[in-house]
Amino acid sequence: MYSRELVKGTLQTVILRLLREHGRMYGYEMTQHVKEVSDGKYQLTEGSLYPTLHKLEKEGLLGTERETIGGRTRKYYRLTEKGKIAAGSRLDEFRDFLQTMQRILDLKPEVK
Amino acid sequence: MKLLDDNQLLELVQYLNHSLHRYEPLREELLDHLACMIEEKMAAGMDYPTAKAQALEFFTKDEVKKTEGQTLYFVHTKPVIMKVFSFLGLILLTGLATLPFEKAEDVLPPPEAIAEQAEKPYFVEFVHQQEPPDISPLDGQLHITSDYGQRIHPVFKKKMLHMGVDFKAPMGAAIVATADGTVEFAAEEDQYGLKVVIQHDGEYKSLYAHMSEIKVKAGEKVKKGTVIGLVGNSGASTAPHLHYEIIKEGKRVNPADYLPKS
Repeated sequence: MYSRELVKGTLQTVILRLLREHGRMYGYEMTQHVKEVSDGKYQLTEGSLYPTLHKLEKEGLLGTERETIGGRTRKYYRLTEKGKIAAGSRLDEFRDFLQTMQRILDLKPEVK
Repeated sequence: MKLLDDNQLLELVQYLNHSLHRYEPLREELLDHLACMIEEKMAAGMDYPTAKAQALEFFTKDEVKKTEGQTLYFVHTKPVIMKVFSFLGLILLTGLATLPFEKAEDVLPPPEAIAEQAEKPYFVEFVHQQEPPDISPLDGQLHITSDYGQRIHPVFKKKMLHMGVDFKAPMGAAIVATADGTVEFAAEEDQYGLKVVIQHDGEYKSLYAHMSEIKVKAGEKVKKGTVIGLVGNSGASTAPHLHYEIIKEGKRVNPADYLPKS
């Protein structure tokens, strides 16, 4: 499992990317999806996920819609126009960041 | 996947209520999250008590509290400077906006007087344009369960100004436009749920909220009595009802004054 710091620093980019890919998602769905794709190494806790979702919503990057599921309400998130633009630029930035880190840390692919 | 029943959900709400006090919008979301966790365990063959115990072990009260605190921090503290500015702006705007309006109200005679003067030629056009909503949005029904004014909000449990009136009505009952006009807004919003706003003229707007279905589109012209949607329970609502507002020159007024007297 990755450290809290790494998750914290990448969470917004992950959320924006997920929503760009899937259109709309609710919180639990995001945690399950990320867990699956990362073989359980990237774990989103509700303690980090929901505050960030609300923050992005507040900033106008995410819009929400509600649906009734059984006796409860499910809140779905989707990218707003502003969010779509942000998703693109964050991913570009992150790609660039990865390359820079590779150089800084002198990471070479492991030889098998 | 089998969904949790109402009693089980109620247990979880009570659990969350122990730790969630300061930021209500989080409750429905954490409830759904917790319910999903439990349902998934149950789908894998676990019984409800065990699934719940396991989920709560992970989803401790402390964790819930921390989540709430962090959300509040993100949502409220960051844009403090912006808030101060927008607050000042608001004061300035309302100050500017209410000045001429209040004057206008002082000068204008009450609606009854306007109607009496309607025969006078220079008033005819004026009265024609300013016809306010005057029928019940629920086809003759007038059962109001919550009046305009201060009240404890049923969902947020806080003292808030109730900007309109609530009509008790069955799910799916037809909602009609209370005067001729143009649909200004017809979409879903967090608090109001499925909401329609009709612009009647330069002065009046009417607002209908918590619908289960919207039957009109923004920009559409409607006649008094046109069905614009169906009663529902969307948004911050606890039971099917219609929330109805009248907005006069941008200010909420008491809709009871614009309903037929029974």
